[in-house]
Amino acid sequence: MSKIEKVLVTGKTHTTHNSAGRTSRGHNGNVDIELSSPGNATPAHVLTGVQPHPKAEQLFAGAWSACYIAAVGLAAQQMKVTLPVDTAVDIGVDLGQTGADYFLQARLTLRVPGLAEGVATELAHNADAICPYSKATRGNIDVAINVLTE
Amino acid sequence: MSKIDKVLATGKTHTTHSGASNSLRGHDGNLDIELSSPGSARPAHVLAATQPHPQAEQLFAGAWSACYIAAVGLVAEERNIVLPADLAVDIEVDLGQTGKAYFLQARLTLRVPGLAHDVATELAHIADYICPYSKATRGNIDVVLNVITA
Repeated sequence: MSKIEKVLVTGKTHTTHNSAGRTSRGHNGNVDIELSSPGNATPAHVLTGVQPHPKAEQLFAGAWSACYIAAVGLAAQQMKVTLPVDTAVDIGVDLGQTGADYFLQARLTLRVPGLAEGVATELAHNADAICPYSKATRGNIDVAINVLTE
Repeated sequence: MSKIDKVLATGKTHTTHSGASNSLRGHDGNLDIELSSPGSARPAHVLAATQPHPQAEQLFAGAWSACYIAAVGLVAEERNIVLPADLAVDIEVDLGQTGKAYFLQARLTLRVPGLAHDVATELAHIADYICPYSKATRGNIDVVLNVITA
């Protein structure tokens, strides 16, 4: 795995579970998508771009976060943890350069207000072990996992 | 790398360079995005979904294909290959299961009508070598590269 020396562009997304009470849609520019899940006709996740201009990195962050938030749900079930209604996943994906070569790196932030820090951290790592996007990039790109419990 | 036994969902995208003559936009449903590139204010690539319903896998396919089509451009420039005006990249990303575990796999198709088949194949493989999305998933997921020159 090569470390990125210079970040060229960052794609940021904010993903929540779909619900009637959400208010974040439409506040942003170009990426604001209700995603469907396999075996589920109604959109399961809401992806909001936190940048006005869509970039490839934002699409990738959106795909990863939709999958990761589903994995958080699975991990919470296994751990018998009740998730807060305002559970959210923020992912930032950087496209960067080392010399003339291009690489990606990512930061995952799990927002679970009210959960104990230790539980949130275990949840975040268990979800990372389950999520196929995390598996697809494991060992190939630098990934930082953070939790916010406030 | 684990092989997928059962495919749960497939995200398909069709990506072209941005141009006034582009007529693919708007023919599809939920995902039809002009993507910007680092260092360029105007949209550089046009991503059209080939499915009516966006899935996480479609976003990932879109991100990968926008980057891959840029990599194809870089390689063609280095090798003095003139790319056809109707150059396109089609990517399909599957979400699948093996036992209870979830995995991804992908098929990349480079469409370069009029190019010699061996030139197109070399172009496709070198682009895969430099594309940071291909690097990020290398060895972790099953990827098939195809070229269409007809």
